[in-house]
Amino acid sequence: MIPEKKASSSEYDEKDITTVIADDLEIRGTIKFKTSVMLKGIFDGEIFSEGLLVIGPTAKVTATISTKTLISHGEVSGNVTATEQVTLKNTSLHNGDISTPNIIIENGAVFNGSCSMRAKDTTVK
Amino acid sequence: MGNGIPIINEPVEGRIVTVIADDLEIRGAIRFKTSVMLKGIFEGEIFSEGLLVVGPTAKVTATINTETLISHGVIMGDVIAERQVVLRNTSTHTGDIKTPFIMIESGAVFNGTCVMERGDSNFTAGTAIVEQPELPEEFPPFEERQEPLPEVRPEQKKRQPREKVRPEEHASAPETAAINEAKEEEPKPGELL
Repeated sequence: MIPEKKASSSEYDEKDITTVIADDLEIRGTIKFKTSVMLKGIFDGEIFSEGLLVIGPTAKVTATISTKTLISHGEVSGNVTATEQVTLKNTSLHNGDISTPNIIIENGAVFNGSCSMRAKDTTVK
Repeated sequence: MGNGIPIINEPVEGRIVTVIADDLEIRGAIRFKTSVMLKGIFEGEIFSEGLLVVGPTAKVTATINTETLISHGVIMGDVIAERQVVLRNTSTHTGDIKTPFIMIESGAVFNGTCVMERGDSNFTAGTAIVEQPELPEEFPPFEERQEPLPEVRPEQKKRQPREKVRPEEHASAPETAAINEAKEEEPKPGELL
């Protein structure tokens, strides 16, 4: 019903994602990657990424996330630092702080936390 | 996506009741029930039961209480919106936001804390949302403001005995009823002419 805005930077093709972690997999610990990962299961720990992190609609992630780009469809608890962009899709739930120069929150997403952005207009009166 | 997310229906400028142009500077408090578009400089407090649109040229330093906020401009201050906050791509927001539904477009700048409570404790992410059609009653889509055109006629017929305003409907959708009432009153001057 709602006309969805297609921002190219927030779209991806699941086939193009290097690693897809399915929804029956539970991970505790730290992951590090450079290209792209899609999480569909339960993750608890820390994520360090220089690429794209996609959190699927079935995922439950409790983590401190440091990434270039984050696209979330699922549930995230924890602080996120993204050097490029954060996208909270309409099904997402985010509890925690976000620090990023560019953010997109779709209508329907839930975000509880602080957002700090420094990229643009820091000199705004 | 029929899951109760308010549809953003931003009226064109001509449909907004009050448009405060960009050469006007206001200090103080404003209070309104329908819709206001600010294009100038505002400092103070805003109490609204309707729609506040902050235009791209506006600079607003205010504590804002409203039903819906759509911002294209610069806002500094805390916002409580009962229905929805929309930060468009040209907007800059510094301050806290409390609202059940938020949308932030790519390009918007938001520095502050966002608190979202939907009064629905079993709300969870993912598929659960899609399975919950209950939300629409609590948060009727904003679109209903403009929709009633086809609805108005049957409403008017039924409403002639004004006292019998069907209490159930009022209970279930008080806002819609109120909006319809407002809509009904608008065409009347036209009829008189």
